[in-house]
Amino acid sequence: MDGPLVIQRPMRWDNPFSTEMTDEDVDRIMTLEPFCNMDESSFPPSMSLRDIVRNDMRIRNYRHGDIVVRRGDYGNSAFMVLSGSVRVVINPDLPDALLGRQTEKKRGVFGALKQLWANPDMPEVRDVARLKGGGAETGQRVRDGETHTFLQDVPSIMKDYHTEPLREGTIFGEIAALGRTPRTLSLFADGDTELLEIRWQGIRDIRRRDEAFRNHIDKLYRERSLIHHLRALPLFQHLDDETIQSVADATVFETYGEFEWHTSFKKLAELTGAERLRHEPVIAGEGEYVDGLFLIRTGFARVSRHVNHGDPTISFLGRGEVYGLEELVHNWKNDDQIPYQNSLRGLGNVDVLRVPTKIVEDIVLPNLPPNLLPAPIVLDKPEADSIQSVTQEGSGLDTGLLEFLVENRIINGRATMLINTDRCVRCDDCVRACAATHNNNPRFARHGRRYGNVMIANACMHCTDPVCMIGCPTGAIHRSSLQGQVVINDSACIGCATCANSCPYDNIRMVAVRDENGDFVLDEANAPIMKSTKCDLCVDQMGGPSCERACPHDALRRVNMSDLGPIAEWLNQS
Amino acid sequence: MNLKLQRFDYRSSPYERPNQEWVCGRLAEGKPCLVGPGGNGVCRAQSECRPLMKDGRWICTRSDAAGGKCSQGPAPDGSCCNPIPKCSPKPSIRRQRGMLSRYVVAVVVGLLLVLAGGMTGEAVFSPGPLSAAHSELGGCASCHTVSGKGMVAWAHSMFTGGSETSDIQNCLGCHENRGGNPHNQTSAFLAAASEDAAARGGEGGGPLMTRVSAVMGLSVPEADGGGVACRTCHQEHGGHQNDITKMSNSECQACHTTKFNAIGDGHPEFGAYPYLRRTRIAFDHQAHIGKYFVDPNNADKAPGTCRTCHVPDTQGKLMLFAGFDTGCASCHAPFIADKPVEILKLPGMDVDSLIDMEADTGEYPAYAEGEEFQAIGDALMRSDEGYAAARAYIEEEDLDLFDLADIDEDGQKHIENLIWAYKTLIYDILTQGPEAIQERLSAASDADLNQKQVADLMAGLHIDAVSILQQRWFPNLFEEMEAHLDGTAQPMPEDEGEEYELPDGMLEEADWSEGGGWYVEYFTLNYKLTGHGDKFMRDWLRFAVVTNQDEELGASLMDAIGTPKSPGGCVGCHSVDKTDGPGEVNWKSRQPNPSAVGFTDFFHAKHFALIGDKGCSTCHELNPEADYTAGFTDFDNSTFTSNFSPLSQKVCADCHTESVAGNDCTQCHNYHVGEFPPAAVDTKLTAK
Amino acid sequence: MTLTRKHIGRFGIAFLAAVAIYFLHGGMQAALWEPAFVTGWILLGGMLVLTLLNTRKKLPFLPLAKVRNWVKLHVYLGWFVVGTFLIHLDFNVPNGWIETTMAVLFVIVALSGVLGAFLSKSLPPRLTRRGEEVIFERIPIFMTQLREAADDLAVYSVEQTTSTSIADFYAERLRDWFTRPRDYFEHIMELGGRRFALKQEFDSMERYLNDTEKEVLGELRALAEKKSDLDYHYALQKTLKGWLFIHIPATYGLLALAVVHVILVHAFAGMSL
Repeated sequence: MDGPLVIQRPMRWDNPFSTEMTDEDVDRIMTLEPFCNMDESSFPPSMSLRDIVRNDMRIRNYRHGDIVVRRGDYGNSAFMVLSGSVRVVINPDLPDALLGRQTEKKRGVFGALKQLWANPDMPEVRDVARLKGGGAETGQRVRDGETHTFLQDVPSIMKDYHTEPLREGTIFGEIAALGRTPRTLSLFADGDTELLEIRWQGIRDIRRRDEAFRNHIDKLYRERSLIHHLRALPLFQHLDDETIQSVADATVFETYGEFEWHTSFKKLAELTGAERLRHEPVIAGEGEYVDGLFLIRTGFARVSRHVNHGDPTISFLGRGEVYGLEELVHNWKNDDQIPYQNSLRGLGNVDVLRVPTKIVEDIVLPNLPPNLLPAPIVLDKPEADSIQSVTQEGSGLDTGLLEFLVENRIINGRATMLINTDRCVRCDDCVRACAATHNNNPRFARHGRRYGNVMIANACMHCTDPVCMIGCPTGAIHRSSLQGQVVINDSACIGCATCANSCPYDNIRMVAVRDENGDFVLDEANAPIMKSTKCDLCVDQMGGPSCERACPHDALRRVNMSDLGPIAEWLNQS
Repeated sequence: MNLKLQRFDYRSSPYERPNQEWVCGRLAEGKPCLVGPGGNGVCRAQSECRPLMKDGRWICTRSDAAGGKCSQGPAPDGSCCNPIPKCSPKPSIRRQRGMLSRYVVAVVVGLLLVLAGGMTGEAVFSPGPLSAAHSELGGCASCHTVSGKGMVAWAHSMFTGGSETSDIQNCLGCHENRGGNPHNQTSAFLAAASEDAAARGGEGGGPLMTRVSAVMGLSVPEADGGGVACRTCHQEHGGHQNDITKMSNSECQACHTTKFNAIGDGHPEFGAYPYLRRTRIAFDHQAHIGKYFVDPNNADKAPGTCRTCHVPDTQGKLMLFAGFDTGCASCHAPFIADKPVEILKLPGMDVDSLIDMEADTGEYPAYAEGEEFQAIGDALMRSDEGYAAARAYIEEEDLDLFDLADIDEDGQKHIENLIWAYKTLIYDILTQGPEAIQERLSAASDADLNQKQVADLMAGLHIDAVSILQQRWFPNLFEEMEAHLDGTAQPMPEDEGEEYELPDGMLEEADWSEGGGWYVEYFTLNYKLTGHGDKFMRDWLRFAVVTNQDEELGASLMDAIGTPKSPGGCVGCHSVDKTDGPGEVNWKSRQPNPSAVGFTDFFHAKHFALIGDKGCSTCHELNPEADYTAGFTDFDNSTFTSNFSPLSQKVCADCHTESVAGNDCTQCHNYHVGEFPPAAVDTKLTAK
Repeated sequence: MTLTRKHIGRFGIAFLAAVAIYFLHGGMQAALWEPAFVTGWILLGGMLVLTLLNTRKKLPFLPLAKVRNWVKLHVYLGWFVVGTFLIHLDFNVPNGWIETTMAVLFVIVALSGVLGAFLSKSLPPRLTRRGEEVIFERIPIFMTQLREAADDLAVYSVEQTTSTSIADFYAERLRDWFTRPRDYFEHIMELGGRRFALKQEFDSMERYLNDTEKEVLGELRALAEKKSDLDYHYALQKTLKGWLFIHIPATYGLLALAVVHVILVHAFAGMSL
């Protein structure tokens, strides 16, 4: 296969969003705003609007009080009210307990010490009373094989919280779905409600083809997120409101890649380097004219340089990182204009923001404090052609290791457990420490993919892009309010294994829970009650992850992949 | 072919739980069940599922993780068709290790308890065998008071240390006189000794560790009851061969205020050592060797080497003097008995004047010729008040007894008393015997003499000798004394008695006593010395120096018999030490005392093989400048000048280095100073 | 394992501390104090701190310094304690039963500690270099899997080739070897003799086989190599755990005796605490 990927019919449609979408349903939707106003001819035959509706949308029924989305949830779909009404909670926010979240609290010294004797003897012991009782203010009901969490007392919620109704035809959740960002508000059904759920690929494709929709989405994004996004970057922090608004106005949204990275990377990893390269769309090519500063909005991108017949990785970029600044600064300062020195390629689907060169040169750079300027580019480095030097340049890591981390998307990790097997004496102190801090249960497995002496243990990496959180029916898996650790609320977990199956790294494990006597707790069907479990980075413990602290030989570290320097330093120490 | 044993997905690989104490007994076979043992190590496995009755049928509920629904399905009675065979759970690796630790502790403690309770208890608790000398001591309680009182007492003692004092007493039970202050000396002595050592200029701060302890500011620990505890220096349980008396130089220096490194390296100068007092026998080496021995007249008598006179004692420690017979007699023996000792000699008197005065004296020989008083006679009479007053008068008036013409009545009375004193003395001796002498000497010396002492002083004086004396001097003594005692005045008869003449042919008395002994010659009672070592002289000198408590008497006696010019000239060589309290006549040179331990030991004999041509003079070099004899003009043995030059430390230090002859303090010095008689054995006399 | 300036520096500090104890000991001795009480308590205190590593490991939930720093402390304090031990004994061999037992236990603990440190540094890289990383406790499971796979392969070979050569070869030469961990010393000492012998046996066997059989034999060879790798991991991981079976029990035995020793010396020396 040469050139960009030509898709006759999106492969995702092999697995439609819902198998229950009937022609009547599609017809009905096609009559509704905004779909009825769209120009069907702007959609290619291989991807007609109807097909998008059929394959990327589904109709879901909610009863009174059912929670639709929770603030902080990650979701990859947007909703439209078909009938009934949805209430959005404006303020104050619904408490964590109502959202199915656990309220983490750091243990005190006694609370920590108590684990010495209070931990049960048996694995996975739970308080059965709590297991069966559930929260008092929310309940769970299963409908059509789906579990819904509902608010028990809607009138009092309406009274205590400021809520606004969303009427039929309102679309919500599209920004979070496209940007893979947490939901900003919680919504629940007010009376029996019918919602149309659109998965993000559908939204994206419609946006791409329909100008009105695109304008609508982009306007929303510009209004709600872009300024915040830019403000978060050091490069733009010195700009005043007016200036940054002008930068935002000029910023271009771009999307590269077809597949969600987490569903495709395992297959890609089996390909050869050159084949894989073809699946990585070029965002900014080496040697191309420098037409802007790229900001990664979602997904991952690889920075590489062509050497001999390959493209060794220099570094990778994740959400919030920029590309092209060095070249821009060089061209701004010097007369000789250089092109991009490296290639930026999308690893799976990547959303980027491009700030055009002129805006950067005219507005951003003149105001930039000198300390934020990158080190000047050294052209014609004599060793530039060595593959080793190319990778060393970016990270200080071994070439193979860096490629390994990228290929396996370990780069997603914010607290990846690395084990240096050259130091590890296999004493399992890490596992025991983990068990001691988690009611006698280890929350990771001391095995995993290995490159040389670096083992990526099967422990939750607390990803930048936590795909495990997509689709949790109860919101049990969520980011902790403490430091953004990905945690699972055990009592809200219904054991559906969605997260465990979603995790591309095998880092979530299902366990059969037991009562105080050590007997498995069974449901009505005599099947053991399962819970989804994983590392919580010792979110409630004093002193941080106990595994790392327990390692006697400094063989285990929890590392943030967005900063490779300390990793290289750690791995290279004698 | 790339076989992978370990899969990572959650279905294939559940959590490994090394934290559990027990593992499935079937793990060793490679087929552990999914249930796992209970916390108590009991197998909990029953069956792979619990079938559920649904629509009147039992259906399998085996979970997907365990393999999903089984093909057979449940048995008709509702039981699972896949019972899990029971196993015996095995302890986990951690638990095995923990159990082993507990076993080891249990074995160690158990073994201790068993052995402690049994016969070998003390041997087990003993931190090692005792040194050979102590090895026959009984159990721990022989030394340790706390022993045998049980663990509670031990624990108590841990905090009170209460047994130290009694433990020390246990040591002293055998090792008498060794406790208390350092060196068994008084604090005052120790202070003075420290000052003395400091004055002799020790320097260097001591061995390295001594300096370290100085930096640490440590002072020597004091025992509970004061002084130094035995175990401060002597530590037992070091095994049979262990020398528990061994002390390092730094340990010795712990107490000493003048700290130095070793002999020859900061050690204080020797000072007078080894000449710490004048020699007991006054022998002027310089004069003898330099003058007399080289005199050709003496050539045949002079000794050739030091060895002639000086021999080591049996320990090889002291050099003893070979004695008078070997060392002195050849020259000095002939002159010792030259002169007799005049014991009593009637003073010559102006008898005519006494007759003129009609003095109450009874008869008195006109031919008496004594011009002075004899010390021993004087000693016998000085308790007589009349005599004492008369003597005082004569001395005061500087009276010439041969010219009494002008004396007044008072003087006459004194002369009368003087004459009666002599008569009373002789009368008393003849009538009362030795008791009279005992009484008189006791009174004069203010000492209570016993019969033996008197007998020694009389030196075999026979009554006949006194009787002869009486008959010659005062023929009518008995009559006169009777009358005198009655108070009847007896004027001196006018006819002077005949001068006594020896019968022709009779030996002169002096000639008879040529070999020594008593004799009367005219108006003198003499004692002729028997030669060197004469007992009479020894006894009288001892009486004068030791027994006598009256200073005046002592002086008078010493004047007569205690000068080099006195008969026998004993004191010329045998120095007399007398400062405070009883003195001593040094009849012998320094003698070894096996029980005595001094601060310093020097074993002469050990060094003989090492000294070269210079021999003894390697260390003992004559000092021609020294006025040796000047040291013997008084009775104080500490004021003296040695014949020899001061001993240089270098002489010792040349060989006594750490690597050659050794420089341990204890090679020369002793800690326990004093008299330590060897342990006596009390064996009752029994016969079979 | 390379000695860096950091290692030498830390060892130097431990050494200097021991030298300080030596002078403390000598200084006290020179002042006629009994230094054994002081060095003894320092020794006991040192040993307790060393033992605290274990306690620290049991309290992973408390924010006490990281275990890796405890281990560093353990190693260098260990050297210090060895020095203090020699000074406490005045460089002599003790006499009493308890003291001798303690000294023997101490030597066992110290030597096993040094051995453990050496093993902990030298074995992990070897584990990295050979075979698949496996969890020690799962080795019996994998071993059984391999044996069953080999059994199946032997049966399969008879079915496929109508010859029993491979099955016979397996039954005679390999079956027993597959049943449990083997060649412990060979692997620990990195001798490689068994590997070579296996290769030779397979090579000479291959000579007499046709292509189908060769394929089966190839699979069997792969299983055997996997088994050998597993043995290797078993041997090395077992050793990594094994030395602690000496180090830790001996430590507790030593501490138990130390308590008795402390009571005895204080009670019998008439020296109060």
